[in-house]
Amino acid sequence: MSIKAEEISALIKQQLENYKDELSVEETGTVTYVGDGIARAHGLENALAGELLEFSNGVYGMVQNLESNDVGIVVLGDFTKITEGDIVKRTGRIMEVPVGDAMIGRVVNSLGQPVDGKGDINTDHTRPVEKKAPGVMDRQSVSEPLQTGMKAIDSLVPIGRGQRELIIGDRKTGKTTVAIDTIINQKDQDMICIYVAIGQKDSTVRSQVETLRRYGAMDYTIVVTAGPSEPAPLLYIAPYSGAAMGEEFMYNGKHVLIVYDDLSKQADAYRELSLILRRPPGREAYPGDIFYTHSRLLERAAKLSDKLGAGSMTALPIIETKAGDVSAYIPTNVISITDGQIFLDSDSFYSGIRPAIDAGTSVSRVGGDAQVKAMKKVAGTLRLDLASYHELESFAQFGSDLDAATQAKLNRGARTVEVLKQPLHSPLSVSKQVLILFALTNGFLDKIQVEDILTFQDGLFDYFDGSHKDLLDEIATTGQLPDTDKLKAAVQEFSDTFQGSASSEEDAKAAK
Amino acid sequence: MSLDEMTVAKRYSKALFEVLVENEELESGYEELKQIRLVFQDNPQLSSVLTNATLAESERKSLIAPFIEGATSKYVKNLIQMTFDYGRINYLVSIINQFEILYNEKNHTIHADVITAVAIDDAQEKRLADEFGKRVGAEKVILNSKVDEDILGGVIMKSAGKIFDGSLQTKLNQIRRTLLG
Repeated sequence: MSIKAEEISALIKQQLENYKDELSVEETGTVTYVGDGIARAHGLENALAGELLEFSNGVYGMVQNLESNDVGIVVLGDFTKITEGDIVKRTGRIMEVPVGDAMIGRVVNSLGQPVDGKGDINTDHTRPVEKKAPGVMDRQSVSEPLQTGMKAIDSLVPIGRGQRELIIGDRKTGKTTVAIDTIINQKDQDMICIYVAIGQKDSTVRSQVETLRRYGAMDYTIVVTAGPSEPAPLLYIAPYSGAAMGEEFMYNGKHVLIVYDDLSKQADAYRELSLILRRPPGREAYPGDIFYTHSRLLERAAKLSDKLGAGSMTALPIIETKAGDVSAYIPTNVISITDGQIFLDSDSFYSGIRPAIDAGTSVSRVGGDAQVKAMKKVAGTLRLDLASYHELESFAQFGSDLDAATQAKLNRGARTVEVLKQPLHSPLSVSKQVLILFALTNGFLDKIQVEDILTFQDGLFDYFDGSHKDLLDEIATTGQLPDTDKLKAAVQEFSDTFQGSASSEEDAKAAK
Repeated sequence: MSLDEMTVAKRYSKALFEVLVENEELESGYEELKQIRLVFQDNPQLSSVLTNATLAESERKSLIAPFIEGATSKYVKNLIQMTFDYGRINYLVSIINQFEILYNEKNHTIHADVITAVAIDDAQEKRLADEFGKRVGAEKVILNSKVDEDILGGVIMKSAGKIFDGSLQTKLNQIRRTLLG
């Protein structure tokens, strides 16, 4: 028998000491309407906007509309058990979520409650869900790189810690994959990642979590999920909850990466509850403050000043476009808020260029300062090369006789596109990215068949891992390009021994 | 968009209140309004009959006539006539309720529901009213006591959107929450 009456009664006594016999005075209202995740209540004359209210069945609500006769409330939970005439009480608090180290590795809902079946989260820290973003003097400019591990992004649209980079594209173009691969690549980078899934199918979220776990990324990741079966208010609040969890780490001097997947669904959820709250609809029926909804969320991503611990929160919001239309309301809004965008193109995706990053329209407005020096050197002309290649490509389809310079440009372009391809969940270290791009820009790949490029790349990496590890380490530690002659000589060494598939076929013929 | 009941009630009651104050008929008017409200509350189907379009207007007029004739105040008479003409007679109870709020505000009076587990006597009620009045800053407290055995003991007072809960049931619930939470 392990139950000891004395111990238990001592414990209860201790808890009861905290209990004060106070007359509870509560301000109340009466529910007059309930439905579709929102409720209206009479009374509550002193309620404040954003205040948390408690319904008589224990479900919480948040004040959204203050009107002359009643208040509009979004219900954060099961609204089916609330009925007309129920009492609703003021709590005098605003909405908070649990935060802290205990959250890492967990899957939680918008309220911070665990949904992964691994028991309670032991943390006594909470943070308000809605918080004003750091001000002008609390920030500094973005200076450290955030390596995504993808050649196409790290070379063309570099992301810095504290930046907000939008990932935009049609459905099924690999937006989530870009984000998940970026999270996977943060292993051992002293980063904490938060993946906020808004309106994503529960089965999809399950497989993302599985992927993250398989690559060991759940050791530093929090997943916040608000599934499609949750009421709209929970979808609306999910990114703010995620941001609150990230801020806790940022203000403690850590680096955070937060992915909002995706904000179009959050906008849809907010539109839904705004319309039910009878706010006037605007363009595309979104409410008037939809811009503010996104801007105040993304503004919370920041690189803090040294005085505040120099922590950072990098945001990767995702927006889904319809048929490549970036001039729709929500895409234009979020493009204008963020510090650049990664545009994913469905045509390239289906023609096998994956990640399907459109180099022409993807930009990073602040990441350039944060890019590793060596990368900057080798990737400097990449964008231009690609642009002139795409221009000539359409031209070259007409004519057959091309001068040598054009031919060379086309050759280089085709190889550049090939080099920027990368398989799923296989991020590359920055030194290896620099190496292959160095080989490309210095013409070592021009003689290799296009279909052999990836084999050449893998061989080159293996060769350097084996024989020239010092050069790779130098890039990784100093961030500078090592002595180019040495590097060139090493690449030449490998390329002399490399045999492509075409030449090996010839060898096979000759042997016959 | 037609105005909702609450907006209408607030508007009408404010107008009526101001006109009664100006003409110093507040007390007599209030008494009459209370009587009218009592009739409506005792006959719940009355207001729906009065707005029922299937009944001939003359019939409805004859139903409303006793109110108009019975009222001594010119303004109360007008109020009934006007709400009837505008098809808002079903809001009359709300209008009178709102009027009462304004009246109470002027006289520093407060209405409160008292819920106890056992019936309380007049002396206890008086003491409760005095204490409550001091606490909320009202000169006069009109109590409406109810008995609810479920609260086990103590008193609950409900007034103007506030609950002062000193019941044993609530305290037990709080202790339960402290121990389990």
